[in-house]
Amino acid sequence: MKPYSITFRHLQKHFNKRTLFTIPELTIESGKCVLLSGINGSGKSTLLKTIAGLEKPCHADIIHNGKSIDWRSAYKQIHKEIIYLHQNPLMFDASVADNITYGMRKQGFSTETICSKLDNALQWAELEALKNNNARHLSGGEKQRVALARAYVLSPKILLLDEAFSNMDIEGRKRTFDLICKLKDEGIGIILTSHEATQIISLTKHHIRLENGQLLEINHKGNVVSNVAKSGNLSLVQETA
Amino acid sequence: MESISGASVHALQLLFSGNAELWNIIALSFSVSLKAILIAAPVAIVLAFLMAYQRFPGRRLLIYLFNTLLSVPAVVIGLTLYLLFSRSGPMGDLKLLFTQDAMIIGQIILCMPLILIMSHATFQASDRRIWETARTLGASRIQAMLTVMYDIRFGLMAALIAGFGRIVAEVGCSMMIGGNILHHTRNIPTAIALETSKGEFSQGIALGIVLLIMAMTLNVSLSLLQGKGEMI
Ligand SMILES: Nc1ncnc2c1ncn2[C@@H]1O[C@H](COP(=O)(O)OP(=O)(O)OP(=O)(O)O)[C@@H](O)[C@H]1O
Ligand SMILES: [Mg+2]
Repeated sequence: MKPYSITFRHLQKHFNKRTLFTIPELTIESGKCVLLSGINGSGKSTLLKTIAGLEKPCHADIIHNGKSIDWRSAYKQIHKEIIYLHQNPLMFDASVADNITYGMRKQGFSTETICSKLDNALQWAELEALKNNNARHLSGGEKQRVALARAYVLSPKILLLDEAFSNMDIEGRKRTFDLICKLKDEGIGIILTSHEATQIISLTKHHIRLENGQLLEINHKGNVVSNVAKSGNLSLVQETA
Repeated sequence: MESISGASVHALQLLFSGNAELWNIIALSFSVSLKAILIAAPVAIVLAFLMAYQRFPGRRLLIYLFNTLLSVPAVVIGLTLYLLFSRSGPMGDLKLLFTQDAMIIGQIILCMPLILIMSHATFQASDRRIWETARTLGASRIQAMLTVMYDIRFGLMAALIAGFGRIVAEVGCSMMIGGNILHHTRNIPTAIALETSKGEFSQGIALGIVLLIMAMTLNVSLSLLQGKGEMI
């Protein structure tokens, strides 16, 4: 997989005059797994949706694979390369198989590709037995696996997982965890959000925290290393020394 | 003038003997109203979608406008179209007055606001995650819009049925711009009005029965759709 990077500079979002966050610089690259923490309402979901091109930022300069592009052309690219997974994944009112093939069908993949990728994904997420079930009637953990498989078949560069582990028992968490590990091993860049910071620390080397509208970098011991807003730069690729 | 019971028996005879004139009126009624729905619905639904999912200036104004249109009486719409289409009117050259096309135009104007307001409410209530999921999985705007529509298909269907119910039994507008010409622009409601005024109730009752059965069917299907197909 070719290295992929996207940088947001001066990323700003506010709702009705209330500023949710101001981020001087944020770079996201393939192959890294980052934990994004923050209390309820700190704006984690909004930040991820903005990165995924689902929320329009109030301001952003975007550098896509080294080239500076405007928001209009950026988000067309982003929709093909970055996939956002909801806090509670939404299943289309259709079978598990149809849910998994949705993106491929809309993007005009060939029938053979769709079939082989579907079989592969069903096996990958251990969903073979549920293939023809209506996805709306699945359990929370099963829905999460369908959502991961649905993204996996599209080979995204970056996956944004919003609270991927909420509402799940230990078994469900473990299976989701394993799938995310596999995605990481394939070189897909991942950002996970969680308000329980410790839970998935083994998966992620990097930890950033959204606090009072600012993005902070946290080291292994849980201390703030740098205030991104002050240092003016955060690159998620560089190992924190 | 015949007795009511005699007229009712005669009405059933007319219906079940396949009286050509009667069934012609019924067919004409359905054909005009279905055409109106087929033209009005796509426009109304797409507009409702845009109003619910896009922010653009004048959005609120459009909602008020359609709400107002919804409460304009059918005769007033009929009168306006009559003035527009009459020979000396601004659109008199089109020779639309007393044609089926004029009736269709009148019915489009009548059902459009209702379909739009009802589908707008359905879109407003729809889960935004459908749109977001479709978009993040690479669907185009139009594909994502169709996915949202599919998800709320029962609500949209209900809007169509309500729209059809509003125009198929409507007499004021059809009478004024259709002219109630037999085999040409006479539909169920205008025929009932005419036969009754002549004191010939049997045909009126027969057509009334058709409308009643239809109203019942529409209402049952509406409540079925709104309960997403669950009877209880
Ligand atoms: N469309 C919107 N309009 C107005 N305010 C919004 C909108 N979307 C989100 N907000 C506000 O932005 C803030 C951040 O919301 P967000 O969902 O991003 O938080 P979060 O960090 O994901 O919280 P949680 O941990 O509960 O998921 C909230 O206060 C919310 O009310
Ligand atoms: Mg959230």
